[in-house]
Amino acid sequence: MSTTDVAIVGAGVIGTAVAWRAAQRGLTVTLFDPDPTRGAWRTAAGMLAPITELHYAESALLRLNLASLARYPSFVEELGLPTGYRANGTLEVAWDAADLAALRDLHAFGTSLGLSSRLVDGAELRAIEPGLAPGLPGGLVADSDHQVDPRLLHAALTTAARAAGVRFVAEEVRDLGALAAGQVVLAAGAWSGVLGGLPVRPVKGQTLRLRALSPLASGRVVRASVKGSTVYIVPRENGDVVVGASSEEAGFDVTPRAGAVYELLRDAQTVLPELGEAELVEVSTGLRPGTADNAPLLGRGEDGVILATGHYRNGVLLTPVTADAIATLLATGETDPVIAPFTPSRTAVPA
Amino acid sequence: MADDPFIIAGVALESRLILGTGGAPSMQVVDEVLVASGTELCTVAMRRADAATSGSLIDVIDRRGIRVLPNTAGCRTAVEAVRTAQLAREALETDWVKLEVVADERTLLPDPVELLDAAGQLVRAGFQVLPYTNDDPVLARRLQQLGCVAVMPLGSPIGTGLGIRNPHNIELIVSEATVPVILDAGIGTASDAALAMELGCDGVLLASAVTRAQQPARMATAMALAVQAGRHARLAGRIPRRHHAHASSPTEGMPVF
Amino acid sequence: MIVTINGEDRDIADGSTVAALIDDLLGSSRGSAAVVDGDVVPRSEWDSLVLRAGQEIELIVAVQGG
Repeated sequence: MSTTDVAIVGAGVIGTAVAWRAAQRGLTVTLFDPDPTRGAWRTAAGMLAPITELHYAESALLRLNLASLARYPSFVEELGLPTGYRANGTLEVAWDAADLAALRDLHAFGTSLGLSSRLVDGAELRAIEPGLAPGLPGGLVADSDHQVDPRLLHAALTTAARAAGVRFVAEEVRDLGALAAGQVVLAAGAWSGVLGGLPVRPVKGQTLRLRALSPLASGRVVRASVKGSTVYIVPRENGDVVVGASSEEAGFDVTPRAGAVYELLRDAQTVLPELGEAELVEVSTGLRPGTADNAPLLGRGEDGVILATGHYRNGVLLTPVTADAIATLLATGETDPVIAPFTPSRTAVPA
Repeated sequence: MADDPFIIAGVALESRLILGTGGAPSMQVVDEVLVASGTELCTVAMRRADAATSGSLIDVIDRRGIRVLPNTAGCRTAVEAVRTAQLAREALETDWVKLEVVADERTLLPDPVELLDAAGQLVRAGFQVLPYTNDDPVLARRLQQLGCVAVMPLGSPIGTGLGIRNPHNIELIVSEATVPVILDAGIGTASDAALAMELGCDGVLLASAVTRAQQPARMATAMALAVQAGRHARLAGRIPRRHHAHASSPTEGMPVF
Repeated sequence: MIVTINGEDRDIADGSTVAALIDDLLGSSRGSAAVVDGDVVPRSEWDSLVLRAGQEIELIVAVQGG
């Protein structure tokens, strides 16, 4: 006899959002996690940026990203709590001619997929964001790439889930098969591979939190390619700035690495010189759940466990669509076509 | 080319394209480019990790039956490089090593002094050393004298895609080589790889040109074909460059009207 | 007993060998290597080398690289 309709393992943004949505559909939900702050959401900058985060050969993922971005306004409105959602758009800037050439190619690729962004020269970039370094050759304006504050989002989801009747259990789950539940959802992020025997690996990421003397005038997210390296600078409403992110294959190690901090600050300060004067408030390190093709595992796995994991760089962006589709699967047994391409059995390549 | 084996340290390979796995956006892409390139030898790096799943790169490579060439990327001194090679030998059960000792982050150019030091130590310790070196014929000669099983001069700095900046030096290295010469680093597109082979290189090692291409698997196919084309052209013998035209149709027996 | 693995203190079973540690943490020994107190441990000694409390261990694996 099951004591709960649904047991969800992992109370990060994904697990908590799935719990909320499932409870809204009348299911009894128990959410297991001894320490949700381990989740990648705490480190994530919260960019909602399908256009400027576009990667070649990830066009299936792009469609899912766009679908989730479109749900964000109503998602945060329904939560009714502060989430730091900011619809100010994004600037992507190039440092040198080669960075600009790469940006132009990506712009052309995005345009061929129907994405809307525009190339601008350095003068226009600085007209939009006067804090940018002089001499930048140009960049891209993506008015529909936004941001949310994942720490506020997680708090809001937790409150909403509790209000909807979700039971929170601060225990470590070691054996999915031992859970007394009608259905089990694995949303354990980077730990999903170990827990569920899945092709999911941890990919370490570091971000920095700075307190700027004066906030970015445009309020826009600034992404930059500096001599081939990518850095992003995400300004919060309160003047804080998140700078990210490293990407390191280091297993479950989460110790901050000095070299990563140096590289992030070097590149961030290159494009926004005044950041050099900011207060360094925090260095955080998290583990992205990486998969073989960088896309999430969504749907029923071989052993019947429902997977909502492997979101890699896009967990925060993909939270609304994941929560909706997984709740539908839990409540009706039906697979929303939007997640159909991300069936867990799609590839035999290990992560 | 079955009748034209590429022999390194006594091991015959059919493909003359060595693929670096660095820079690929995902493990799926690594798998695709390994297959599309037809490579039989690919490089990996050694890093600290404590995760159960981080070993999966090796699973992907092993599944395809491809030989692994560990590198010492990131090392700045001979001491670091020797240590990394020792780790790689235990990890991968191979005594082959792509020796890479770079001078600085900005250029990633080989540091010749540290490189020679490390090469000597590793050869004495029983390694089969394939050094990544500057396009310097003298340095290439010294590395061979030490007992390296190949020399791998750069076409241009790592990741630049600037092609072969000093073809003359590459030819000089080839002309006096007693071990295979493998053009390593700087390849941007297929014609660069073909040129390397036309200059007489025995093989080409590349990573970014494929892994960072918009369509990595397609570029891997292009590189495989380019290396084959360049090798055929080298063996076939190109015609000399002339200043004036030399007709290919008969000049005699023109119809008279 | 407590040992340091890749810079972090970890509690492992008394009498663990290098082989057991690698099997436990990395799953597969293929592509993995260990350094104990600064010395690279040869694969042939993994089964016999018993770790002691307080030792510093580095675990290394093969990753993507040019």
